[in-house]
Amino acid sequence: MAQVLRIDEGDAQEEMYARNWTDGLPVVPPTPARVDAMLAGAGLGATESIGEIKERSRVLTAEKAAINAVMAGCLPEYFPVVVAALRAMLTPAFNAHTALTSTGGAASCLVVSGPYAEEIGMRSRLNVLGPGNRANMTIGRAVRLVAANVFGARTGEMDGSSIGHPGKLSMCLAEYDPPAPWEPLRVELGFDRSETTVTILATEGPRQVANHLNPDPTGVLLTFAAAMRNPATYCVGKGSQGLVILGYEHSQILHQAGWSKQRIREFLVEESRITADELARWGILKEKGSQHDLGETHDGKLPAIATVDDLFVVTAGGAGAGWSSYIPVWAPTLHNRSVTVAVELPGGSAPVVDDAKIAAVVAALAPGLRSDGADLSAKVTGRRTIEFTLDIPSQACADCVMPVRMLQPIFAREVERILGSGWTLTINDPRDEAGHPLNAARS
Amino acid sequence: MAIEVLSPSYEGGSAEAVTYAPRRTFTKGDELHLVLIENGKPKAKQLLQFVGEEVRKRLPVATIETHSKPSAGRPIDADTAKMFAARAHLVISGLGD
Repeated sequence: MAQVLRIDEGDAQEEMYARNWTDGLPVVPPTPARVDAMLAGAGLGATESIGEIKERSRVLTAEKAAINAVMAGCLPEYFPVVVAALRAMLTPAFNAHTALTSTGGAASCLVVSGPYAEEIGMRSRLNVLGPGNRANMTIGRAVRLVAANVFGARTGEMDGSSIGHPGKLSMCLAEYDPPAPWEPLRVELGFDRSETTVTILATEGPRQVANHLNPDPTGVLLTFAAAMRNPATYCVGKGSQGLVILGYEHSQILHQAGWSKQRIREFLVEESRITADELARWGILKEKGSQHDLGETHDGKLPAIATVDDLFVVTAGGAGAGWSSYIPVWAPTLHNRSVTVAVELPGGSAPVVDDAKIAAVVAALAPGLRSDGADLSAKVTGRRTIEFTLDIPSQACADCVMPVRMLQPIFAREVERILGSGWTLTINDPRDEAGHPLNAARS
Repeated sequence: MAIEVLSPSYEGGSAEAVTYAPRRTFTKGDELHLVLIENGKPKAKQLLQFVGEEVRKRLPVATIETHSKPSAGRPIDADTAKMFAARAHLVISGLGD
């Protein structure tokens, strides 16, 4: 349990500054009563694990998440969204170890999609990326305070941002459901329309996209493409993910012209490609012999966005003259991918997991074990928690079966592929730490 | 008036201490195997190979092996580390940026 400190109420802010607990702004003192209320907001026990960053050997408990959410100014009803965002951040595909550390100075950009966003008063229209809405601002801030206080992502410690940007303080928006036949982000990503999801992206700062006069959908999208292929953006020519926020007028133009969101993505991914000569025209040299050397492409053009599936298009923002936003992910997909996790509300039933999906996970993983005489079973033991058990009978080749530390990432990949993000998994291994069968004679 | 507040900082103890690979002894006449681990960023390989050649001038290095990480954002895995520990007399890692 967290250390309890007694401080004078009048000195609380200065004391918390002195302890380097804040992001430079005042915070709400995390008293035990406030923290308990925050935990109750998500129906979590203090010691429950939210996730971990293995490279830092650090685990995040619900209590530490709640303390930081109190400090950020969250109301308890925001906490399920904060928890979903943190589970997303701590999913290995997001690579938080690097995303929170890089000189590139990435924000933890959160997109909340679904009915709970409106229920807690999140803003999805006017000034959607700006200040003024408590839920938007404090949910994003809570995630950054956890990154700093629990995982050491502070200037001078594990945050090496050369420049950074204001979104690192808080960057959180809600999507409003687009008009049919367009689908909201959560549905496009395979979640149920009734669910609420949080998508996390490690991003550079937003680029405002202005096109006030052109009623032609292609003209509007070409303006986006110009922003997306800006050579000054680190990932242009390397292939990353990106977020397009379609403002009201631009989404109307595209929707009324009959463009699907898939067609928009395909158009933008294609039109944002760029040649090495164009990059060189603006002073950017193509990497050769490094991790980002893409080699020669069929037409000499290099991607800004890795694939069509790596561009996310959401509807948000209020009416105006014709404003939108493009937000590039800070690093190529080689290093980091966005992750989406469903918000789980207290008292709500655990997500129903189809037995067939669990069987599919086992079917994907077991053949490699069976070839060595071993076997595998799996069961869901809690909210997004799955427990695997290795069966290694005495006649099996125990030394042939990979140790748990090697199986863990393989299992995690299949769980994420089949069941989705945000799962915690354990593997029961009948062998001892050295890999020998327990109770077996050893030579 | 005094109030109680809970610490927001990590309290789970420090990370596990790193166990160094066993030090390898060598005697005069031995030929050494040097491994360079570069992080994949531009010029990292050239920088480390320059360092490797400088080491070769000072020590009896017979072979130099360069390992390029596929992503600067991820550490080498434990098995790769063990492999290099088993076959290298000396490992130098570094980054370019």
